[in-house]
Amino acid sequence: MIASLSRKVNGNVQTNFAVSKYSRFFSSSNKLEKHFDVTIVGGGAVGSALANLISENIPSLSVALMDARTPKSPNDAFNIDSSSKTCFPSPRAYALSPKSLSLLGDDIVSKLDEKGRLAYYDTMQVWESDGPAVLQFNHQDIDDTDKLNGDILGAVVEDEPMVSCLWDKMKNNSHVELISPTIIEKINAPSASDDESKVEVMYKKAGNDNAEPSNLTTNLLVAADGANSFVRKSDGTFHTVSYSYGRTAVTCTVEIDSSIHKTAFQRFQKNGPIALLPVWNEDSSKRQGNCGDKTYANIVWSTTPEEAKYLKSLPEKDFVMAMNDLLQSGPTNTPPLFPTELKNSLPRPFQSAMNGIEMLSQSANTGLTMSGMTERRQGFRVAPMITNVVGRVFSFDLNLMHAKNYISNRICLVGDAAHTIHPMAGQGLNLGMGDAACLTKNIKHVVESGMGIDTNAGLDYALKQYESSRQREVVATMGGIQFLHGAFGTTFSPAVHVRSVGMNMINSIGPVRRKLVKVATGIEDVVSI
Amino acid sequence: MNSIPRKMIQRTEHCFRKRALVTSSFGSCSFPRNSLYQQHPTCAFSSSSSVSSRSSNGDDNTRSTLNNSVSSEEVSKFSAMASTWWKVDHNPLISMNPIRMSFILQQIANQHKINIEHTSSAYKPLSNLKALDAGCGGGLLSESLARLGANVTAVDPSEEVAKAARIHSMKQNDTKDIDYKGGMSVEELANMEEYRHSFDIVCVLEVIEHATDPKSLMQGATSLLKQPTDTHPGGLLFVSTINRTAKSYAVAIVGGEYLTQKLPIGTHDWRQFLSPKEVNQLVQNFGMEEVDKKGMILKPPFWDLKWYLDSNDFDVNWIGSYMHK
Ligand SMILES: Cc1cc2nc3c(=O)[nH]c(=O)nc-3n(C[C@H](O)[C@H](O)[C@H](O)COP(=O)(O)OP(=O)(O)OC[C@H]3O[C@@H](n4cnc5c(N)ncnc54)[C@H](O)[C@@H]3O)c2cc1C
Repeated sequence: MIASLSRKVNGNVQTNFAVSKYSRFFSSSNKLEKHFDVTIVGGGAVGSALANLISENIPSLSVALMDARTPKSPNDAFNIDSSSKTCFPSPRAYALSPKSLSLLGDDIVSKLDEKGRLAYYDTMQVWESDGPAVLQFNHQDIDDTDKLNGDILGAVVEDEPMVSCLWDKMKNNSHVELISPTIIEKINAPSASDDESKVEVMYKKAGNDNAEPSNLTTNLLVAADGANSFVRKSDGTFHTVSYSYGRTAVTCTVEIDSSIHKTAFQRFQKNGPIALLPVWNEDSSKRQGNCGDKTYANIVWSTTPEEAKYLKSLPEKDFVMAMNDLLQSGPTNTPPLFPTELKNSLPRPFQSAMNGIEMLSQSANTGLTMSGMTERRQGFRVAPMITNVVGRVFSFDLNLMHAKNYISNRICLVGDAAHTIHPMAGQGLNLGMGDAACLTKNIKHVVESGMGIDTNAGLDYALKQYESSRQREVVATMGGIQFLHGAFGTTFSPAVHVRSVGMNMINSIGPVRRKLVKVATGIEDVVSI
Repeated sequence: MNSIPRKMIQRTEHCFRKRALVTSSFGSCSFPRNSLYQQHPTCAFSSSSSVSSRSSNGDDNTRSTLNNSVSSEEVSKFSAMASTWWKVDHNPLISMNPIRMSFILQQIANQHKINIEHTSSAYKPLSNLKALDAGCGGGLLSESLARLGANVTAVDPSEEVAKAARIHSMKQNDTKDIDYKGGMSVEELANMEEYRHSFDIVCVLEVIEHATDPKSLMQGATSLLKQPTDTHPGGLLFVSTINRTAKSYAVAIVGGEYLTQKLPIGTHDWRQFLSPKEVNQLVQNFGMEEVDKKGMILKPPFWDLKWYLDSNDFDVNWIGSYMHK
């Protein structure tokens, strides 16, 4: 009975092993078996935000949140108790859009803010390496409906304090059961033709080989276990497409010599963008424990694997210089449209025609830049100087991964388990938060209409709505980022011209500009629950 | 009833599905043994089923007096659909159900001054209310009403679909107490003394367009509603159907049945569609009046099947609420 319930499991050997190992367990009485309406595997930022959203918005559902690790307590995450160790911001931080911040919850946001762990920014400046284009946006570029947090464009938050605050909040919530640290051993999901309404999950305590396995049943299993999702892989009904950007992101925390003025800087160069993001509140009086009075920023530099390797091998002084070189220089004049050799090889009349075209395009460009300026309200901002690197320099390969289906019978994917994107706009998490909000909204809808998630009709309807609206959003964002990646990843002159003219036009034309702001800042169409 | 062994339910369901398929492909139905009930051709299968139906007890005395609005072709049409009733891809009513329910909840909240906020750990805004699902089909609406706390009675002219509905609802605690009465029309129920004037909510959703005599259906439905008293605001009648417009022909028949094949061809007969005004006139004959109505519309991209309530567009699907004058 149970064996026939389980969907494809990786390979037969494993299946047989798993079934024989647990058959005793299954056939025994179910007094140990717990049931939850929703079970979330993975209590990272997305999984724990989802658990919170469901318990707050749909209090009639019971929720279990499982993770291989138990996050630190907020006191530890904020470094309140440690007196000896110096602390500095973690490079694993996200640029959250106003919408994501509101989904996180006012209480969590203000807790992070009180401890100085939230760095708001109200301006984003994007410029390119060999060309005159500058894109600058602030909160006025966001549609009114997206403005949920005053005059800000977003805030940078570190992963660890955010996750620890979310878990801490759920400790006191009777609707949520936290199961950690735990290892998921096996998942039995019903097949599509089955009317069975439950998924079975076998798990045991992590770090103890002799631990007794337990099992639980759930109406909906949510995979929030990150890019290498165990749930997605072991289920066997999810298919993914991957694409390597051929880029590696180098990321670290740096100390800067002056205020960053609530600006997120992003400069494109031929191998990819380098971003300098504010992190922690610059008002150090808010900080706890031994957290110092320095001003910090985060670096996310995406480049070729070779350059990344080279950068990591540099002495700190040279690495700092390389970063400052890129971030300190402003937009340049457009290079000649046509290669000089090409022009010289042509007869006289063609040469002057080409010069004419170049002059035309140059002046069109300048004109557009000027008109862009007037809407921009402020001039080009110069980034603060980086003085040194604090902590380790990390690097990771950038892959785009997208699941072709986000849902399968009673299992659904959220966050990085469903999609990973280029961190160019720091949006991995904004998309994940959008998933969490959308899933909550659709489940709430069917629960409140009495369909429940225990019937296939109710759950399938909610999941299909979730899948189609999220895939639209995620694919659009991926497309937008792909567009930026493609547009900036070239130095071929005509392309630079098109891009510069394009970018300055974007700067001047409201609607296009606003669309691009949405992609760059991660502000999506508002999903309200 | 609640203790039917699971295996048996599964076997029955399985046979039932097969049977439903056969019925749909050959259109062959045999008449039941019960000669009093000749208006209702149901498949022979249902009378020999191992799951005994509640409705078969004590119905014979009432059936002789009925004057009912059920057409025999309609009964076999829906019996054939029963196997796919709970599949989102096959039953467009599933995607429509959330908005129908939100309309019903809102109207009940107004009528009974109850709070429908989802704040506590059990969401049962319809507790203590008695509801009738007239033309329950696979039990989609019945189960929704029951899950929200209502005490639900459901009738359907087809024995088979009601049986399928019962089997489905037995699987969950919240829905296992629904009283399904298969092979029974609204008029028949209205002829039973104990049910007359007993319901807070009577739902005739996506049913009236399939009835041969809408007037008699409405008469039955309204007579089942509680009458207003000093302490009770009176029952609410809900009717939803398809308007008879050129647009509804295009959307419901050409689009719904032929192009997208979301519905089997022949599900609807455009001539039987009704406008909000016509339904209002019908119920006025029985001392009722319209309280509110909403259009139910699909917005692009249409393949999402995402429905919305709309205050202005009643051209295709619409839902109305009615109370005693
Ligand atoms: C080094 C690094 C830097 C990044 N920097 C940025 C950035 O600057 N900006 C940005 O927007 N995005 C960044 N990202 C991407 C960002 O981290 C993700 O988009 C985001 O964390 C997604 O959250 P998630 O909750 O879906 O997954 P994760 O944060 O990966 O969480 C997964 C959770 O599942 C748990 N888990 C995993 N497997 C199991 C299992 N088998 N059983 C139980 N639990 C399990 C893990 O312990 C973890 O808690 C970065 C990612 C990395 C790795």
